[in-house]
Amino acid sequence: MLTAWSLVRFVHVLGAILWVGGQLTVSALVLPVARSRLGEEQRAALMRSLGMRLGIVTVVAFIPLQVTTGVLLAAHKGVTIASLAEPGYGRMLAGKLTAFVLVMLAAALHGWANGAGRRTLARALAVSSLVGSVGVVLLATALPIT
Amino acid sequence: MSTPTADPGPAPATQPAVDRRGLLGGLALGALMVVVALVVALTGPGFPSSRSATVTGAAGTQTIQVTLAGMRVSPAVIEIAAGTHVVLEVTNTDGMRHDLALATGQQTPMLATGESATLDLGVVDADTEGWCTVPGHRAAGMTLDILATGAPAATDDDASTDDGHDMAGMSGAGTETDDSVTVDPQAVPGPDWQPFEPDLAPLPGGTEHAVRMVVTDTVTEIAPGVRQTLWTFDGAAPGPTLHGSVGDLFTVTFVNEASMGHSIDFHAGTLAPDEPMRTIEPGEELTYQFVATGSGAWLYHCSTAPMSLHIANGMYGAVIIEPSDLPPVDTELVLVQSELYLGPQDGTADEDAIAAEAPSAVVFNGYVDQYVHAPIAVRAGERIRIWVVDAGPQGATAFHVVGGQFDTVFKEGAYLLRPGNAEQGRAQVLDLAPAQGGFVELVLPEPGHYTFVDHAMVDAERGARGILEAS
Repeated sequence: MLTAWSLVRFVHVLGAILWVGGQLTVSALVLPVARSRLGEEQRAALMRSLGMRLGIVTVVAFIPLQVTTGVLLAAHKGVTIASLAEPGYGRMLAGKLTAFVLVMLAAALHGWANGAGRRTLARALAVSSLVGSVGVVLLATALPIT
Repeated sequence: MSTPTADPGPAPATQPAVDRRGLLGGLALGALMVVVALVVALTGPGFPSSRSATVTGAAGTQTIQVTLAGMRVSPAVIEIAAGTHVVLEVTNTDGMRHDLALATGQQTPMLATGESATLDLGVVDADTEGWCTVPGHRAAGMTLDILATGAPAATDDDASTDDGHDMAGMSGAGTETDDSVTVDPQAVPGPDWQPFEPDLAPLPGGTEHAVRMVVTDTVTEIAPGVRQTLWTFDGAAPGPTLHGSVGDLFTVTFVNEASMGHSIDFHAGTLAPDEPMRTIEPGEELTYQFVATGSGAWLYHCSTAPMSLHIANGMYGAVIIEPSDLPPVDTELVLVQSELYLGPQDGTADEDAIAAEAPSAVVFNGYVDQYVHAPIAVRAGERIRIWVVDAGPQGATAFHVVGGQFDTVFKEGAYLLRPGNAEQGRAQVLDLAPAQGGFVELVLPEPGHYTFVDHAMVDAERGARGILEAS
């Protein structure tokens, strides 16, 4: 049934799609093309600019939106802090939140590593952020339907 | 902060190596994140739904979490090493009240939703069992087996059966058959006995009826000298007969003053059962409002699980909704047939007998041979209408009047037979499955004693008999 809660869930899922999809697109499509078609200077400038924009969108829109809709959905589901320790839905959600925090940390560190010119570390953090994001989606799909 | 897109960077010569190291490192770090999340999600204390728990280690005190919900004790089996000091932390997470009693004598108080209690079993050397003492819940599967491994085989059935018997007796659950009371067919009621009023009260007038119905535990005589603690609507089984016309609005205030959860289900109305038919606990009440959308002789009953037990223990009654243009008659009676599965004297119904579908008695309006002891006075030549509802919980009826013929039969919302039909047909039996209802009409030709029975003769001999005494 299409309710207001469907809309909240839709926004939450849409946010996840855009964020994970954005990383995938930039890393898997834009970067190889930029590498083959652009010169070193232009490529660096393009990637830095893209990264900055995605970063700003993440902090300004993505994190507040996901946290707000996520908390709303959890509250609607009757999840409490205590129930996060309970097996089943609670702990699955706790695992998902853990992964989300780790991914956000990796993304933040990636920004720092980029700025500090530590390219290997920055790339590793970017890939780990992407893999971790997929893990978040995996745990989201594993949340028991109750 | 910038987002994770693989970093560009100068130094093209080293780029592929940097990329590969970054890629592999990133994959490893990402995988580690997922593993950490999965560990959080999937490990920790056992799932409460598991049916069995094993406590290892023989020495010392073991504390075990036990959950009561959904007619189950979780875990249902606890294995401990013999000699372990066992403490159970019992929590009721269900919507209805439960407790946990052990064959060894320990028992929690009755726990409401969310309440917990601790049971110290002491050092456990032998297998034992536990169960919820709310009537019907043990039979429904709310049991716990504690298995002491390394112990000598459980000493026959001592621990479980004998103690279990006592506990059942204490709670009035009456799960044993050997102490059930029996009906003496020769006995007659005492001088103070009053039969259940068989006459249908006249229509109350108006189209809206407010009724207050209170459930209580009531010690009730169901045959001469035989008493059972029935759960009753307004102090008697059957409960009060509601009487109205098609389209009437009934507003029932249902009050639980009994010792356990109960509910009510009126077949005479059609509505979503979720709220009005929910089980309410002692001290609670609810309002059940229904429109009598169709005519008929309708059953109402408690719909709290196990329903067989709740109905067998007295929680049933009739709602009479007259078809339009129902002509007046001289005498109008209501007979609700049900089975009794007797537990101990003053106890509650025997769950084993219910499960075996072996009634101790079959009765009209709640008392063995009621209208044999107190014949119903009628007149020869007058028109008699008899409303019959079969409350069950399990048995059907074949309602018959010895020496009479029905010229009118109305069953489950339709006339099967009316006077003056072309075939000049008449009927001998109104047959009703459990929860069905209807009425018959007849005229007795001359003065005499007309016995009415459930013509399933074993049921008649068990008490489904009465007499119309025509003058």
